[in-house]
Amino acid sequence: MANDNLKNKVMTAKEAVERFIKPGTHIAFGGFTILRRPMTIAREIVRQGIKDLFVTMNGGTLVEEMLAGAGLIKWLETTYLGLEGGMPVAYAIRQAIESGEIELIEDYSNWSFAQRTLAGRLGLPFMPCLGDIGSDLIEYDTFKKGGLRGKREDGEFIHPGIPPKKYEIIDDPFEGFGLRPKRFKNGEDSCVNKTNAYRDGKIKSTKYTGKEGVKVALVPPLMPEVCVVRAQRVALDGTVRIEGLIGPDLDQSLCGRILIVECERICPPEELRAVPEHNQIAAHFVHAIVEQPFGAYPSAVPNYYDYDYSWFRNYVKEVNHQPKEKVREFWEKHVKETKDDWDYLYNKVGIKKLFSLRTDPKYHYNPNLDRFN
Amino acid sequence: MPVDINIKEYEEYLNKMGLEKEKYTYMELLAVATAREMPDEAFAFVGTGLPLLAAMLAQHTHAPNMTIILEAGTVGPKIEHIPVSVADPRACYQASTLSTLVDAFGTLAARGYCTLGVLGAAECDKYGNLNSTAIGSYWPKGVSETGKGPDVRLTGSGGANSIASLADKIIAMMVHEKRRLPEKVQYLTTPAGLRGPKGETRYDYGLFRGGDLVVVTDLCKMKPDPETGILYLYEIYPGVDPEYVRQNTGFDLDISRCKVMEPPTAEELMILRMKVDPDRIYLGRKPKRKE
Amino acid sequence: MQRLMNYIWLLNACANSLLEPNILLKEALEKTDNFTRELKGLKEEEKECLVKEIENVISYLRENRNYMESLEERLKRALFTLQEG
Repeated sequence: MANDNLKNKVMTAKEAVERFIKPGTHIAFGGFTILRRPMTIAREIVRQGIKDLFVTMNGGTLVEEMLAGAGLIKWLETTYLGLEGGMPVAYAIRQAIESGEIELIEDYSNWSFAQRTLAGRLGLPFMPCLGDIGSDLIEYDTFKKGGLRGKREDGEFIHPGIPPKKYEIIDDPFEGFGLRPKRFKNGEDSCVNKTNAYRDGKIKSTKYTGKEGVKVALVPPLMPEVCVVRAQRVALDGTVRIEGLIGPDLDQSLCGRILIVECERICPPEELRAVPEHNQIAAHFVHAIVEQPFGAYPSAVPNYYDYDYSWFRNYVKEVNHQPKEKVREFWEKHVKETKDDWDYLYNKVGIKKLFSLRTDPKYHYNPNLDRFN
Repeated sequence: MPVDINIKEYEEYLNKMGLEKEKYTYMELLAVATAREMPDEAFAFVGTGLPLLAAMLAQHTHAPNMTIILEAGTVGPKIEHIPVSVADPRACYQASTLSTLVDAFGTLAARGYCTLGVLGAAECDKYGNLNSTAIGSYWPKGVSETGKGPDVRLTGSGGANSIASLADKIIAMMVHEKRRLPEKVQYLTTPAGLRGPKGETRYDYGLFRGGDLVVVTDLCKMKPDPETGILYLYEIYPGVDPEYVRQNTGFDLDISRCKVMEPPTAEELMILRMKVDPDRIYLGRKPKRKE
Repeated sequence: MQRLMNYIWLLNACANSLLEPNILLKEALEKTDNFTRELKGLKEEEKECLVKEIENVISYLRENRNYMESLEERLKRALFTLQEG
């Protein structure tokens, strides 16, 4: 029957992790800081102890902090390691990098990284970026130093998730035609930026290429093995509707091989297909649907529940400045003692706490939430 | 600057919080100092915390036409409750559009709607280069010669480099300590100022925007010299000794041209306290400087 | 006529905006009896949470219904004006 066919994408977090996430998997987690983090899958990864992960993130760090705290990250591609809520730099990640437990870390900026995910999503060989040039992001190429960039004897890339170059800097073949502000026929540009140093003749840049020209950094696509994202609703057929801010999630969900979507509620396809332009990800892109209400806890899901700031404050209290064993212990106790996410949410967090985070339709968050006491 | 604050309510608030009309706290000073650097009609990329407070204060005072942009993809929100992150749903309230990071940096910033960026920095050198990546060394253990990772790993660029590459003007905020203001940063995360001497400037490297910088610290404001690009002491806060500032700067700081900033006005303080952060989530924080 | 179009399109937006609520409400209606039947053996705090949820939804429905009823009333007057004059 048609519906049986549809149901085969639906699975438990346990099944999704067992099927798609192995040690060493190149994996991207969606959401951004305290917004819509796919914690159900992340907690299940900790529960199953899947190690040596190659984690990539455009908006850390709640998920990544947990994985680092549990000792599961080997390589990291990142833009930002802050943890909102009292840790300017996420402690477990910092500890793992400084001690060397995370062996390799490749830095990008938010824009160049976003362009990478865009290239991945659009199926294009690269995307341009006008940032990162003039900085040490270009000069320090960790994967290159680690001998991971390039092709093997048999012609395959050394690692399918690592492009042969970090950046390629070119001279714009269109000689800066597209840079804003530019002069139009009937007047000056309408945009508000006022500086365009190529126009003022300020720039005669010969760096990187050795020739005079308009410098543009090309970035290769981000192409993880697995992308995980959390949406409010997913239809039985896989159609995804994200509500509120999307952040990295359109681009970062579609750039990889496998997409796992966690959701608050699986709904009938007709519900979402009635207004298809409000849907962001088409059904065929989704390989696994995991329904887990409240599963993004302690992060926020607009229109459903707010973030739990007290969780973050408590995390700082328990973990900040602690030795590695204590940090590991925190995360093991946090998750491993539970048998699945509902066990964690119901027994460790509690129904009362979860429902206290419920949102107001007008605000999309809980305006009466006392976050700081 | 018409403002609809009930005077009696304000006086009760002052009593309750133990504040006075004209006396300002450390964070209030920083918020006001930063807000004053934000032009009207700016399209400002700000992060949460002090930068956002300053932007909201500016909107309520001299910059009612400023548009706030948050790098996660939010344009022009009308914030009612203080957010803790750029992706906090509170920071999305009543926005004009909500979308993606690609949009924020592309459709807005690169497209020409990023006149101002407000960044935090761990280190800043004399050419206005910011380091928010690593101190001591950069290479992670897998490739370092030391067998360990970096001495101190920081957040990384986040949106800082991207914003500094695309904004006309940058406000960089930091604590004024000698170790944080070296001659040269150990890792150049973000070229926020001229970047270097002739041949090594941001323009020499092909950055087509920016160069206008003000570094706002808890002691003073510094700006790059229009000729050399080297930061000099531009404005000092009331009661601060320029010589003290120079001693707490790692590079040789020219203090000969500084002016004294006008202290926060009673009106600025009232708006900050009653409209921007009445719960004093950020305003109530203590100074990072150890005296 | 031209002056009236903005309002007509506003009514159009109202009508269009009812599509999704109607789909959801219909689905909720279909499932409510089943839900009520399963409300057994709950702990006190679980009951409290659910009571609050349902009371909230009822108040939002009521607010919406008030708007709908008032609008229907006013529109009837517009109809009357159109059909009389």
